[in-house]
Amino acid sequence: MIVKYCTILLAIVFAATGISCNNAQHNAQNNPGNNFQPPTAKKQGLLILNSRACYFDDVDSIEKKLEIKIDTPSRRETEQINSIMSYTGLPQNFKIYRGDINNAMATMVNDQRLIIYNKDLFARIDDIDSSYWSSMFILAHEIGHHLAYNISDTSSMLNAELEADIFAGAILYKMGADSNQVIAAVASRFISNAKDTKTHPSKYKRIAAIKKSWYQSSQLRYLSAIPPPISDKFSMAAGSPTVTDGYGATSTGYDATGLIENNWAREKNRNKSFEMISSPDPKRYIDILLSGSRNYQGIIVDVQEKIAAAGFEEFIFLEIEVIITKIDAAYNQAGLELNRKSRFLVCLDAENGFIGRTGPLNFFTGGRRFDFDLYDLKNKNETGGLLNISRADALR
Amino acid sequence: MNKYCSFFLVMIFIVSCNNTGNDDKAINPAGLNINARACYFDDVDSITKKTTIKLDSPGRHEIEEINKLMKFTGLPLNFTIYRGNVKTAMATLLNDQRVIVYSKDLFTGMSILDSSYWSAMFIIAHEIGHHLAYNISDTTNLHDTELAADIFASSVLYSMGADSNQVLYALSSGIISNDGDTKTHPAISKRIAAVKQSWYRAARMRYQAVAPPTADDELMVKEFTERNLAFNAIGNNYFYNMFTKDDDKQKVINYFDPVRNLEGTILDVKKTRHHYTDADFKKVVQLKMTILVTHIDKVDQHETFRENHRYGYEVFYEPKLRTDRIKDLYDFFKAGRRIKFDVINLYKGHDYGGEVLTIIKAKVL
Repeated sequence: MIVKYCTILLAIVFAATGISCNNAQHNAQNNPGNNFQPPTAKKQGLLILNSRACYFDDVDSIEKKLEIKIDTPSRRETEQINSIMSYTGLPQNFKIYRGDINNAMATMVNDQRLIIYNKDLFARIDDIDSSYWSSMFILAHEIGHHLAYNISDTSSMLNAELEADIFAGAILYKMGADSNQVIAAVASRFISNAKDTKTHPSKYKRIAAIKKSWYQSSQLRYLSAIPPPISDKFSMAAGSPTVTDGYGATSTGYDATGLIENNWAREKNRNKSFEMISSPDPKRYIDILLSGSRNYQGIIVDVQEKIAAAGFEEFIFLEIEVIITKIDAAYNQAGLELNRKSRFLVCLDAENGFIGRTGPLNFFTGGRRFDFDLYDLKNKNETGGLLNISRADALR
Repeated sequence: MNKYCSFFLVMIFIVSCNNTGNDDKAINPAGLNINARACYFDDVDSITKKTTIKLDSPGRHEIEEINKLMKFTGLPLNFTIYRGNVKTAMATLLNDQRVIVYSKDLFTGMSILDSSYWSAMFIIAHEIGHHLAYNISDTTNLHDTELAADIFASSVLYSMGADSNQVLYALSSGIISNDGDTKTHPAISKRIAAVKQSWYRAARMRYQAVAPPTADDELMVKEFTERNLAFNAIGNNYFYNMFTKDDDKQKVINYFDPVRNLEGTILDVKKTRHHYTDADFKKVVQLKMTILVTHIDKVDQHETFRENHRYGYEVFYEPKLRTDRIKDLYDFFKAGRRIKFDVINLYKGHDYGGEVLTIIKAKVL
């Protein structure tokens, strides 16, 4: 008896507002439902555009293509769209098709969100940097049009393009693209125009907007909640006696052998003040470098992997941010404050078969509660004045 | 600011299906023609079948907070926002414009230390989630659309700094009227479970880079053998003069401790110019890459390798036959490619430092 919601779909609205990019309206069709034949595995589909569509670049808009042959999507692009959406927290409810267009586009048909892309372009553009960020960016841009709901906004088309670029820049930051990878697609010579057109801003404006968005996204990262505790082999082993393998890895984390010795070997050649120490005993390094900064406890809230210097590609360099939760007053030479965030460096040799790469990355990750000591490498050029971690043991 | 304040005290009519569903001429005093479905945070408003909502302009601080929320999505704030006499909040589309109406009593605490702040932000984020997921007009899966909006709200509140309790205030502080499933909204226990899961997922993903998509292009060459890969590498090596040209090739390879039948995904590839100037090696192309090892053949297990670990590798390639093309090499070794491969440690016993793992054979999986 009680029907709470109206079931009239918004298709009516879209039929009424269907405006093409270049005023190239398709007059033959009155019912948009007739203009879309989805493809099957055997048969090609067809999309006749009578509503506005947003392209990645101006090329297609110039050609005023109204009939697009479409095919079922390939696995790669479906996976890409799924992973982009997983970083937004939103459901993946787009229909994806391959089509004979020049780049990629977003449009709506019968109240369904559509993304159509050109497979060949993706293969070509990804080939330039042997990566997948360019195709990722183009797909994220089209997703951005849908999420920003600006496809039918004809009053500010240039702005709509920038909105989609800004979204793509922000989401690609979250996905791990660096500041060059994020602009690769727009900067490439295959797509995007040097000057403003009717539909698209110049590539320089787009690049500026993307860079800014990437940077803002990287700053917002630090506001996120304190990550939850981690339950893994390190935290499980906490509380029972620590077992060490003698090569730097222990049952609850990493000891001075792993965290100092390698860094030491690297520094020895550069920093003359270290030459006075010839003993390879890492315990002595701690004593000489910084004996009084021990027994801190904290929670890792942020981790950034730093690029290793040439010749040290096998090392992992991490800059971690830690909220200090406990200080041993007798050993607080570093002068840390309780409940404040501090940044430290971690250096480990990932090609040491006992340490590897995944172990350290899983240990030094957001949410880790741990007990640690510090040392000072006394090389400001290298460390930026940050202290290094010399011992790390997980807490439960 | 004008955008949000321009409609002062406009009346919206939300038309219910059971009475005026066919009447799309419901015209309010301001002349708006509205006939749309609306999504509420809670079932209460739906039960009272509110069709007329008095609207008021939103507060400046409230808009600032909503703007802050949108920054975390990377999307523009292009909603028309009103305060209105709804119990919590609702989202609807009017003339292709995204509308959000929230209760006058929603924002009582404006500090992130206030539990009511997070409750208000969750409710607003939930309505924004309906718009972004574009599920307001989806009447077939009402429960799914509510859960999708909750999941979005939870993930964006994680980014804003809400802890695992704060993200639940809106659902756990007695605002929600129904315990069990209703026609429009899922049971509160289901909503809480979805929100918790989404918060933990967002926390986990913050520290994870995305895995590359599967490379699914048509390859001309699906396999590289020792003929093209192994001997360029060994030939460049310090140890090469230990062997004579007549030595059995497998004997040479075996010296470098080959590990066979590893499986993995290529994460990134760098094209580098090899640094050997010897004329013999002028044609050699060198690639450096990172591969996530996903499977180790237990029979040939090697202590260096562990599953789900990343390792750096090199490839040395030299076109030998007329049909060999460097392009095929570049096409083959691409980020996202799943391959099965054999490696040797080129610097075995060398004090040069570390291992240089060199691929001597590779095949598409």
